[in-house]
Amino acid sequence: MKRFDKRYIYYSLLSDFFGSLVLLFVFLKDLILDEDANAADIWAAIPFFAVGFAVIYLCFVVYRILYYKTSGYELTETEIKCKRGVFFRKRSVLEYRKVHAINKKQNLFQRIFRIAVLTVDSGSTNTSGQAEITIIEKEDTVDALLNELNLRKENRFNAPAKETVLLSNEDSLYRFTSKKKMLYTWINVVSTAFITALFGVLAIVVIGICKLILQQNFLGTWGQYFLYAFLITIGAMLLCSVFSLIGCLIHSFVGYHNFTITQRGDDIQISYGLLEKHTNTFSCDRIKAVKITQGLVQRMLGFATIRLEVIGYTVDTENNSTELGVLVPFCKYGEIGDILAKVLPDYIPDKKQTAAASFFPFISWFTLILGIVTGTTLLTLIAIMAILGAPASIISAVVLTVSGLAIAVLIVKLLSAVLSYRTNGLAVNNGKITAYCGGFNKTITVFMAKNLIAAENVTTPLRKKAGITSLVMHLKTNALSNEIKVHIQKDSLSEEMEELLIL
Amino acid sequence: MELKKLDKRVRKLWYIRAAIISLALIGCLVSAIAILNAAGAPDDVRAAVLLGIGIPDMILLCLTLAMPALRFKMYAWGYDDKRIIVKQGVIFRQRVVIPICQIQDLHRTQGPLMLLLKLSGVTISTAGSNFNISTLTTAEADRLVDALEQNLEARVEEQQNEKI
Repeated sequence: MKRFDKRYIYYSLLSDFFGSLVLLFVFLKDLILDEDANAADIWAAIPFFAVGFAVIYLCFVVYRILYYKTSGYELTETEIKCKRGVFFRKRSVLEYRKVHAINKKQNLFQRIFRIAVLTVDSGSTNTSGQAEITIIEKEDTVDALLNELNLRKENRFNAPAKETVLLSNEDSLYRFTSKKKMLYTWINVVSTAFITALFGVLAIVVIGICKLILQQNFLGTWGQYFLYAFLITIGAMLLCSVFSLIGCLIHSFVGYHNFTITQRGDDIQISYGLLEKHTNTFSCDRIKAVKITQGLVQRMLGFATIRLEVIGYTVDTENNSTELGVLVPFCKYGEIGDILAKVLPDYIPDKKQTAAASFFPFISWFTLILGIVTGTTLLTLIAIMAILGAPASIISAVVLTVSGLAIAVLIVKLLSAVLSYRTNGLAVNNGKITAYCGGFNKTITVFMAKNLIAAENVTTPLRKKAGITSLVMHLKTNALSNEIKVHIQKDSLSEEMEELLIL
Repeated sequence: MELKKLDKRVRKLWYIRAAIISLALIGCLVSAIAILNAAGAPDDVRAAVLLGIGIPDMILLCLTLAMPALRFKMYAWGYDDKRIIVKQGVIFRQRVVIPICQIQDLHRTQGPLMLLLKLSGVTISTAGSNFNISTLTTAEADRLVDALEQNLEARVEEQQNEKI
């Protein structure tokens, strides 16, 4: 078995060194930054910390060397073998024909040492948290392995060379331009400012009611209170917006640097990243679903994000991030058809063929439960306050607060229900299902009927009488998001859905 | 397909579980009373605290005790050589159809109470979700697992022949 590249040890030790320094700073921060600390104490403590640091670092050195010595990989005619681990040894064998996704990753330290990490995933549910095969090798070796594995999984490695058109980065099927990145950033900033303002207003109301209940002059007169509260809310909005701006700029310009989608044969290759470079390759036939999502602000301005459900691509095995499943980070809603026509023509969403059957069921149960909870809470609170002999002004203030909060929640739910009523729907066309769902966040899921593994319908006695049901479709994927719910549809649809199941 | 109802022992199991939860809820109320007595709280404070804890406690207790009978009444399940159907839910009634050819693994589970009552739970794993057939008698669960295994093999063979 071939060992990983030796530079893995140097790279790991460098990153461990920085990690240990950060850890040391966290421990020493109180001692160094403490105003009462005296210099002699600090100097006396340093040798102990130095010895501690050396011992911990030595453990890392030993671990990394052992990891290097015990890890390796081998490519045979039919399968790829890999062993790794020091305390818990793992030996994996994966047949080429079962390869689901091949991902290449390279962070800043790895780029310094010119090495990269290649992960190969089979999409097995048992190993959904971690890729089966991990190889740490020289950058060019990883590129060669990536090509070789792609050819082997398509069983073309020993076949006579076919003319394959390898699209260069310039031929990318989609470009995430600087203009789009700026727009993407501003939309996120606006969303953050909007949410902060909403919380601010809610806080002003709640604190105001507390001020009223306590009937004290704390926080000044009413005029002073509203002025300060307004200024604090504006300040919080600005602060959050600045953080959001910085975060989004880094995310879109650094994280999505040189975002390209290329197609080679039946495979799609998505690569991006400046500090950490990702190259993800998978076959089109491994795609289980395409998800088009729109947040509220994106929806108002007509933009969307397109994601993919591909086992082995959707979940970042180390960070458990869902960002990895992105196909197009940001585009105009109207462009979706054109983009998908170039990349995945089979997954262009169809127009809704059915709509929500009625508006009332979207709010009926929620309103009933909210009413019961609010009523019980109010009655209990009034009884408690009456027993404790609270003044009428306090009782009415509490009643106002609870009722006000319940009304606020109901208004939010009403808005969400209106959007859900307009969104929910379904289209079935030649074995392709397009499901429209969501309230504030709209999601359009396009998948093939062959990937539908179970159909479920949920109804209540009254809804059954009215011929209404909610559909839950279970998809063939090991992600947690494998359930698609389309609410309040005609109940004849559930029979149609059951007919689509491959029995 | 004719759907079957659950065995009466399942209702007994659910009632035992409900009784355990009810004991915990009553325990909360009794503890509150004991703490108030030990602290020598005034009568009005005592009444207010008991009301605050007692009302939600009693609502939960009623729900816990009513649910087993309602759940038992609504639960039904069945299977043939192509699919499994499970119907459940008291207010929100679900009907799940799982094709047999989509089954990946079958699991039979037993807890201490289930062992005592000779009952078993069956979990059906597919390529995406896990589905539970709530609780069956152990003999019934064994029969179900065997039948599903046979049906699955036959169905996979049938599908391979269809492809050829």
